[in-house]
Amino acid sequence: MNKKQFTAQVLEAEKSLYHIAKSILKNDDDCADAMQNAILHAFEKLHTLRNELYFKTWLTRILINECNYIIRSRKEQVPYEDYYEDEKAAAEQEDYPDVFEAVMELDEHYRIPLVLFYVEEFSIKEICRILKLSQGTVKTRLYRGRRLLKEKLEGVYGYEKKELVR
Amino acid sequence: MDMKKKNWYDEFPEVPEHVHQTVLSTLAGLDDRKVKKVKRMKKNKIIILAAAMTAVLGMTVSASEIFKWNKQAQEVFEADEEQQKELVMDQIAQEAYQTISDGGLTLQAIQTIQDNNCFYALFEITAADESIQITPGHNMEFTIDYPDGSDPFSMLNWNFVDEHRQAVSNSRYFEITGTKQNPGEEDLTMKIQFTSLNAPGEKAVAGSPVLEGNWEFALNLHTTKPVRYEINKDYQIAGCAVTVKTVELTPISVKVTCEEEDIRQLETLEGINLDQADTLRSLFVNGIRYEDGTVIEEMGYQELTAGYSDGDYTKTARFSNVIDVDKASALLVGDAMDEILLP
Repeated sequence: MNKKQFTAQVLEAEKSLYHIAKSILKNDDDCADAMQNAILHAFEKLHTLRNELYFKTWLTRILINECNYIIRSRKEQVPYEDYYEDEKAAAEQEDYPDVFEAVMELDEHYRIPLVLFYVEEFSIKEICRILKLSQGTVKTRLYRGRRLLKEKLEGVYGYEKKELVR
Repeated sequence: MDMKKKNWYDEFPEVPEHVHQTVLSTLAGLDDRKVKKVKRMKKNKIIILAAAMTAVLGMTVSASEIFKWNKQAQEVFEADEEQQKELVMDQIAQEAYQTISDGGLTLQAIQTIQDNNCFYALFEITAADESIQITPGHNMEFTIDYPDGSDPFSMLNWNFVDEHRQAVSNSRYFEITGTKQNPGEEDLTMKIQFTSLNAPGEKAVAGSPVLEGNWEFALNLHTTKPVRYEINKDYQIAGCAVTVKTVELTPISVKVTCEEEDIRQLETLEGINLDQADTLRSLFVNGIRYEDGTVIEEMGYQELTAGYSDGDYTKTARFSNVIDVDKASALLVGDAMDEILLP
């Protein structure tokens, strides 16, 4: 894969990368930093990509690592709870759709698999590769996350009781 | 609210302009020269690893049958012809001669590859009814029994191979991979009993059985001892002095043991917490240098286990390419490819 192909594939995946970064970091400036670091790191390590079919899965994994790195860096600067309260307050100032808000309120364990599966439509196997989890764990988190999201939408946001469908 | 497929995507925000501009400027600043050329071993000679498992399965195998090729195993392990021969002689790679048919489904055990850290088994599943198309989304229901001891694995994964590796038909390869929780050198005896071929599941739910039966495979796998190097020297890794105590190498995996307090320094440097299952990037084994200066770069880092115990930090990882242990002179770790010399 050359630079031109790499650039094209990154731009094709840009919105997905943003959604995933947003679901982890919440703050758009942090999202931009994580995406930038992921792109640079991926380009540097492009020779380690064994199969170009897996480019998006591979890049997503790198992005999640970069997001986690940013979270760890923030935790060193301010107490964990303060950081997330600030991020939550900032996020609440934005006018986002209810479903997005409800997803973002879920615990990270459920939020990230849900976003990967339902929003970005990665397969279970791809999610296993991205998150380095077993299929059973991913399926369990999807099941519980979907149930929690449903309860949240019905309770807090007043949606009718209907099945969530991918 | 009926959340149709497209609603999920639509409910998530668009990329803000300043984020998009960051992406564009980052892409514009990439330098083609940074793309490394990969040094690979005799790429045209990459073949599968195979050997006889005659002692277990009671079959006699002629010399010409010892080295058999299988394209699926090529995807997982890579070795030139000489390495394959050595792996067969070491009984790390073994070919499993066993086929069982029941309930309209034939299962063939094809290949096992293992050492003291990891395990890989390849099966071929074939439905007699050609209208049954086995896809990557199908699954096999099975249990594993360990007659000689407790479950040695900390993690097991299994799946049918992806479509880019094999077209959909009534026959499909099925892989099981395992990480051993306590790297051991004992032989591994296991019985794998398959009970059904299951249809792809709906969302996060397992699929229902398509064909049911009883297919039981008995595997008795030899575990070769790794080559162990007593190092006990300080090396500069990511700018920190790290005492490397031991390195253990097999053709398919590596185990590195270091002083805990030195690794704690690297943790701080990288801003991670290994007690919370983070990964230490500066100790990734990104290459092996041979005595003649050839560098075998790792194509995909696969950490198996890592953690602290009794004042030590120990990690195990599987190589993406089979290596020649006898020729190895140094591990190259981290992005900077820092050296750990092997005496």
